[in-house]
Amino acid sequence: HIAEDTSDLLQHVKFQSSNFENILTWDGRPESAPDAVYSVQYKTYGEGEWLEKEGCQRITRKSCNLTVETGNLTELYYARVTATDGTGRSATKTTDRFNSLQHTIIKPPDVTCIPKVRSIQMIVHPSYTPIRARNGHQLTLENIFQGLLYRLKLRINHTYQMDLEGKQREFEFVGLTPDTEFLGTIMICIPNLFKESAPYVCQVKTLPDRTWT
Amino acid sequence: GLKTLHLGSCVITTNLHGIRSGFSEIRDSVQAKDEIIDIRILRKTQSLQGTKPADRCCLLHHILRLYLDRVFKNYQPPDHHIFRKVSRLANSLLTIKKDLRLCHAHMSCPCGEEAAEKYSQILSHFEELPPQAAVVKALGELDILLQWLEEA
Repeated sequence: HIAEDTSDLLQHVKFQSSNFENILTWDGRPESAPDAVYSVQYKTYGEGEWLEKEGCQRITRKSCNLTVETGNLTELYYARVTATDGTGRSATKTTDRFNSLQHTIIKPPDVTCIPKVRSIQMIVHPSYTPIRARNGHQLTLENIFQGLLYRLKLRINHTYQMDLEGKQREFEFVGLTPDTEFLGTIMICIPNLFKESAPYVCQVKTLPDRTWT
Repeated sequence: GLKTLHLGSCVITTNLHGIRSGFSEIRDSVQAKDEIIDIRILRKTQSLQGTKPADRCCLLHHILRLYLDRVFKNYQPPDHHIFRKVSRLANSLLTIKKDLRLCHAHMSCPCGEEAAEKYSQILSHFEELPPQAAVVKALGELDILLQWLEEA
């Protein structure tokens, strides 16, 4: 009996996680199985039972939100997808071992850049995650990662750049030329876990100096 | 940087950051070889941080001896890159184990009942698996051990 090749039904089953929002995604070749439906299960590593993800049974889309089901930061998880086409052919594929603390990607921070005459203030807003504390409060990245810090750069010109870094959320680049354009970038860094967000970029112009000289 | 581990009265510093970095490079490929996902060797009920401080040094000392004598020694790396990374990890854990032996020499690494009980449970989880599967699984669980050290 030759096992039927069903690899075209299902590929690249993996978690895509950013700021602890954990989405299971997969691919399937639509031209070979236009009527395929997908069912998702998940489990905790080390346990025997696969659990069905409600709301992702016999779906036609190729993603499923498992944020709640994989929300324990110190736990390790697996998920798997079963694809079934109209002729009854099916394929099942399992993810790699997943832990959101290790695998989540950090999104750029949300920042307000405030130009003044000879300085630019940058206020970093908290990055909320779907993770909740026992008291129900939504946790921010700062709550979750003790070592989190912000790294800021202000490009002055082609050769000169100012750098600031710290755990606080308010920063100010001072000693700038009035009425001049600057490019600021702000990143979230978590050194002990080798995580760094893409930069938030703000282009801003210092105010003209209207004081009588 | 260096991390200070407080294991009861035994206090050591270790380059946890470097060890974690080394392991993260091979984690996915090592874990992918572990097909027995219903079983876990290092379980929460035996965690270092869940152990009373006085017994943590002894428990860790036994776990590291398991890794050095029965995991790294018997692991068959699929390629030279992984071989080099695993060797470096082994050397790092050996350094920690040597520090723990110093604590032992200074009577600050007592082995109480809790450490003995938890280690025997870990050992039984390890030994209930086929030898090579146990080696692969234990290596793939180094991130769990590192998380325990981070939280200890």
